[in-house]
Amino acid sequence: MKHFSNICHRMNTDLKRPRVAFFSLFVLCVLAVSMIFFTLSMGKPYIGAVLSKNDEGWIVESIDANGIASQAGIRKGDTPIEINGQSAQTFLDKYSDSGLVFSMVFRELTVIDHTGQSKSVTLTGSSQTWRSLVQQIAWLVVSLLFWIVGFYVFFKRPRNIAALLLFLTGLTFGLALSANMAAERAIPTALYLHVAATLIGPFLLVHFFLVLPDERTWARKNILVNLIYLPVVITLILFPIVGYAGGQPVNWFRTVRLFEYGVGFLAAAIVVILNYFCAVSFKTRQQMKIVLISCLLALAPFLVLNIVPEVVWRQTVIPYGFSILLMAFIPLGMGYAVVTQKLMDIDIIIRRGVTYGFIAVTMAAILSTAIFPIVASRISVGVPEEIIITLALGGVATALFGPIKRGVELQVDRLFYKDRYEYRQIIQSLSISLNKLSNFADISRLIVGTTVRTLNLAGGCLFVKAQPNFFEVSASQGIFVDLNNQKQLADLISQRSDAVEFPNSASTVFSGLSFLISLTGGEKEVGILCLSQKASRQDFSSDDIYLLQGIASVAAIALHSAMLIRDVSMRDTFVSVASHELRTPLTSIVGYADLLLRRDPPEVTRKRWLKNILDNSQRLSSMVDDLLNVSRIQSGKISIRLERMRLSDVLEETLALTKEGTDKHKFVVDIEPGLPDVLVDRDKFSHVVANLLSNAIKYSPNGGRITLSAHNGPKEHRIILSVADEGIGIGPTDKDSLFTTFHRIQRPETQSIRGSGLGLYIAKEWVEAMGGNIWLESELNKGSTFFVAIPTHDSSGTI
Amino acid sequence: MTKKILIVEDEEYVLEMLSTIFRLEGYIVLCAKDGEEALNIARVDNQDIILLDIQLPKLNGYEVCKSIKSDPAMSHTKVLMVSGMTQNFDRMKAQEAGADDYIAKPFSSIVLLEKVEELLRIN
Repeated sequence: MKHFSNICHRMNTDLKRPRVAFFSLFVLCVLAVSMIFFTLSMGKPYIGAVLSKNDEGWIVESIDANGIASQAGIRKGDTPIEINGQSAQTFLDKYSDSGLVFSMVFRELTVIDHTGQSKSVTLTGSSQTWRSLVQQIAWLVVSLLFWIVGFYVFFKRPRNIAALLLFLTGLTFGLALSANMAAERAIPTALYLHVAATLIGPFLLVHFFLVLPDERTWARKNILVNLIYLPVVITLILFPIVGYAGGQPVNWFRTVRLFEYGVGFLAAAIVVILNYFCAVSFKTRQQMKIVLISCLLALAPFLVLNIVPEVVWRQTVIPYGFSILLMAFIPLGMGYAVVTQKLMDIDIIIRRGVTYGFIAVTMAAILSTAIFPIVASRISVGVPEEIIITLALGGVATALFGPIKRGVELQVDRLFYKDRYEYRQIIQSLSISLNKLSNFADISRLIVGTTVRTLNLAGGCLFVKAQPNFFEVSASQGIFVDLNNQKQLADLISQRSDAVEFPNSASTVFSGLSFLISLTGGEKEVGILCLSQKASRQDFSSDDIYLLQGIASVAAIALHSAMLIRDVSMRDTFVSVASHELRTPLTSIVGYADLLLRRDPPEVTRKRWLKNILDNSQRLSSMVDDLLNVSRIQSGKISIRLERMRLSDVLEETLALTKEGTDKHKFVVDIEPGLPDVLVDRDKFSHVVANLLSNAIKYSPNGGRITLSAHNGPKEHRIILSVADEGIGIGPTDKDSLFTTFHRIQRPETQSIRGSGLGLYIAKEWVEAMGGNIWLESELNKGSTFFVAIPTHDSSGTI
Repeated sequence: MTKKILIVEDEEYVLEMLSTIFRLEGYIVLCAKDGEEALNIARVDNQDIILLDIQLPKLNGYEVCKSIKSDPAMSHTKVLMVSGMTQNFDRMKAQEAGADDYIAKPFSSIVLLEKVEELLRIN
């Protein structure tokens, strides 16, 4: 009801626009005319005879089985002697040019057959045949169905041109049928509308099938497509001028019309076939399958029950009217193809129908072949033999059913369901290949590669959850190999809302991007698959989405298990490295304490041992602090208390503390005067600065200058702090992993340098948590400079 | 007879501590800070026992141990592996590498000395 009122509301608003109002008026007129035609002709008899002129004069050319002429016994080949109270010769004189007369101009007809017997029909007082009534009702029902489907589809998809064309086809169909009836029975001039409608109808179908496939965008937007109506329009203009004489269509012009009519239907059939075989999208192929099946359902019984028996035995198995009712399948099929979102479901039904049809035919053929020799050799069989034969055939049938079913299914899939066949294969083989891999990078590459290749995408990129709220690129292909694009994607991912629809169409945000698919394994989001448009710029079909869903679920499971394995092994490494780092100072402490306890060394030695114990205790304590910090960071529990402070205060304080540890280095402080205050967590920020300074001291073992500077950044609300040394420098291989846990530079010069390998990791996490970032520039053996960008107090915390 | 021991350890404090312990017990102590240095010393100088840390720069303890045990000139030298890890995995890898015994950090000097003396007694 709500839906209906929506439609009414939309109609009300739409009707105010002149184009819509004009169109609605046109539609209502056509409907009204059709209904008038149906009403006027319903129940009225018609003669149903066509006269033609040959060398010997006028004869009955054909007889309609539904007309009263047929009921009165008039047959093909009879000679007309009297029409409408005049002699046939006089009456037919004016039609001698066209040589063909339809019965709509008769009210009375008298003929004699070859035996000389005269037969006569008259319209007045006759009642129409029941066959004719059945046919009329059938036409009316089919027209009504066509209208209903047309209306439904049109209001369901108001902006879809295919829906509009289907709607118009329905109107035309109804008009053609009703006008035909009216022309035969009541209003001879309705013939013109009948001709017009039958001519336009096939071309409307051609147009419909041209625009139906999603991928054929040119046909939808290009106005030149309307040129297919040009011959029809010309014919319709010429028809009243040269094609119509004395209430009768001129014969030669009739041939032109029939030719055009045939061309129209042929073109529609060709477009359907081309649509099916040239379809890029699976959706189009399924739509065409639905249309094909509905046409077969509508026309096959007509052919088998009416046309073929009529030709062979001159008699139909059932009246035409019943077969005509089946025509309703055509609008239903077309409407379904346009409106439905569940193409896959109907396709499964179609596939099952086709498969079991073939199985039935094959089984029947095999069994009849088995029975044939028995019947042919005319063996007289008794009851026991019959039972044996029946059992044997039953056994054979049962044994054959399985292999035949499998074989038929395989063949049907190969012939008609190639895509589906491959889709299934793709998911299956992807799943198998993924199970074989345990390496993260390999899994990611396989997922991205398969998706991009299968759907022919311009690019794909997989982001994997590295830490809570942080995704990193694990594989990329095509346009997303570009780092700028990856950066854009990363921004998009960090900004997206928590409730991600599947598939989340993201094309509005970032052109070229079609989907952000959230991969969820074990109720947790493990990654995000970003997919571009197709390389061919075509839309995604509903089956592409099905395939994507399949790939996404397989990928999510694979990623989730790989992630669990990685987490466990990372935790193992962390625990073992951490325990090693703790044991080493502990060994020294225990060892020296032991020595002190058991020996009695001179004062100097004793003091040195005690100092060693103290040093190692401090080291142990800072190691424990670092590990706790890492643990807090990794479980997402960093607590940052931002406060406003003067940068120079923090820097000078930290520098003073660090300076004490060395006498080899020269410290230079370069702080730009008048810097705004910063907004940082005091403890964590000074820890970071202290860490950078102590690294600078440690990694310039030969001394040198250490410069601590702070300047306004190139971006507003951002201060850049740097710590530069003249030490051993950092090579490109170490640069990337420098900010990860337990990474220590392994070079001969660094062997004696002590460190936990956690300092820079913690520094990076903390700086980022404070809204800043950290990076470095370095040249091997020349020195390194670490930069920290921090927000000023008025920056509202973001950079 | 004075026994000769080679201590291989990359941590300065630990190395100093260990050498003090053994020196005070009357051993002749040689020191190495990485795997390569250890092998070089072991080749030219004949020790009775090597105290070998597992995590070493350049060559790790297992590799050093394997080289020593596969060289007929040195294979009689006892090897006591020292590790910062306690997992059975380490112990098994030490055995595979041919180590004579294994001790995990942190250890008391008494236990260490006992282990060393026991190994030397078998000799």
